[in-house]
Amino acid sequence: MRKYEINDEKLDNMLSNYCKKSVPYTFRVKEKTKKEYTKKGFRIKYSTAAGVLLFAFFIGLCVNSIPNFFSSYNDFFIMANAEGVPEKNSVLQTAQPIKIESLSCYDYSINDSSIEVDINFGVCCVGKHISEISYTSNYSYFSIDYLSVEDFKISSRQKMTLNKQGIVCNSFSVDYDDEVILIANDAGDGYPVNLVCLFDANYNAEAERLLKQYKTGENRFDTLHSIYDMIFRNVYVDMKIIFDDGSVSTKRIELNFDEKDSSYKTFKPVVTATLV
Amino acid sequence: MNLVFEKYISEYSADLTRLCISLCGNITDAEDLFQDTWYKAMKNYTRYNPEKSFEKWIYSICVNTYKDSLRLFYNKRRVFFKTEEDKTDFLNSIPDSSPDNSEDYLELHTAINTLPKKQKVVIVLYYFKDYSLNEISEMLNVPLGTVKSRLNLAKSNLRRRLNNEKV
Repeated sequence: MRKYEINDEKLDNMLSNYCKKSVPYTFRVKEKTKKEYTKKGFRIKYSTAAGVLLFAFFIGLCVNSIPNFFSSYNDFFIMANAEGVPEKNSVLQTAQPIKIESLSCYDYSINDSSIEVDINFGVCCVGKHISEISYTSNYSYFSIDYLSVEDFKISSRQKMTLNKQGIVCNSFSVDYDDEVILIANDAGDGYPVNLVCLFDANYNAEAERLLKQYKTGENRFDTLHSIYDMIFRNVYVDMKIIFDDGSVSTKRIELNFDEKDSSYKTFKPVVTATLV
Repeated sequence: MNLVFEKYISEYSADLTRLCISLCGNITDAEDLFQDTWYKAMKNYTRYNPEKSFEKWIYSICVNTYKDSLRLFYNKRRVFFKTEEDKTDFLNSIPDSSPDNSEDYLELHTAINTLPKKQKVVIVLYYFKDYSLNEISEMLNVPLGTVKSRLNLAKSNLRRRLNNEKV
C-alpha cells in the first residue's frame, strides 16, 4: 500500500513519462496491408463484419425491432432544444439579464458502469460582463468534477470581445460535494457552456439495475427511456452568476426528458431545459 | 503506392507505433490498429491536404479508428503483460521508472486502460506529443470545452484510482 498520495503535479509527471515511453521496436506496414489497398478490395475482417451486420439488420427487419438494433451502438447522436429560446449564434436583445441561449444534448455514450451525457448551452446577458458562475444541483447520481475557474477567465474575456452585444460567459465553477457535475466552457459558437453529466451507476442501485438491463438487450428502448427519465426528470441546476460590477443574479434551469417527443422511429429522446 | 507515401511511412511509423501501444495497452491490438491506420491513410490519401501537418492527420486517423472500433476489437483484452519479461520491458521503457515507483507505473498503466475511451484518447494525445487543447479539439473534431472537460475528468479519475479513492 502506497504511503504517499499522488497529487496533481506527480500525476502530470507520471503521465508525461508514461506517454513518452520508448518502444524498442517499430511496427512495419505489412505487405498484405499495402496489397489490399492496391486491390482496393475489402479485407476479410471488414467484409465479414459487414456481412454480419447486414445479416443482423435483415433479422432486425424481420422481427420489426430496428430501434433495439440501433440502440446496441454505444454512441449516437441526439439533439434537444430548450423551449422558446433563440437559435444558436443569435444575439439576445432583451431586458432579461440572463437567458439560456440554446441547449443541445449532442453526445452520449454508455460505458461499463456509467453513462456520459454532454450538454452544451449558452448563457448570455446584455450589458454586463460575467466574471464567474457557480452552481448547485439537486441531482445525486452524477459524479463530480470540475475545472478551475481561472482556466476559463482568459478565454471568457476573449470571447467577450467577440460578442459585442451579447456577452457570453465562458467561466464556470462547481461547488457541490459528491454530486454532479462537471462544467466546462466551450469556445464553440453558440454553445459556450459545456455541461458533462456523468451518470454513474455505482452511485445508485436502480441505475445499476437499469444499466445491466440495458446491456442484456432486453426491452432496450424502454430501458433507455427509464434511464433518461432518471437522469432528466425534475433535475435542476441553480446557477449563480457574478458580474464584474459585483452584482449577483441567480437562475434555475430545469432539465426534463420529454417523453412524448421521442419515438421508436427516430430514437431521439428529447431533453428540454426551462429557465425558471 | 507512391514514393511520397513510402516516405511518410518510414518517417512516422515509429511514433505511430508508440501511439498505438499507448492507446491499446498491448502489442497485439496495437499492431492491428497500426495496420488499420495506414490502410485508411492510403485509402484516403487523396483527401489529405498537403498544406496541413501529415503528423496530425495520421494521428487523427489513428485515434478515430481506435475510438470507432473500440467496442469491436481493441478493448477486448485485459491482460497487458503475458510474461514477467513483458512487464520488465514495459517498466524499462519509461524514463522515470525505478524500483521505487514501478508499482505506481503499473497501477497507472492499468488505470489508463480502464478509462472510458473518450477520456483515454484525450489524455494520451495531450501527453504523447504535448499537443495543445486546441490542437486536440481539431484532431478529434469536438469542441474545445469538451476536450478540457474530458482531460480534467480523466485526470481526476486516474488520481482517485491511484489513491484508492472511490471512482
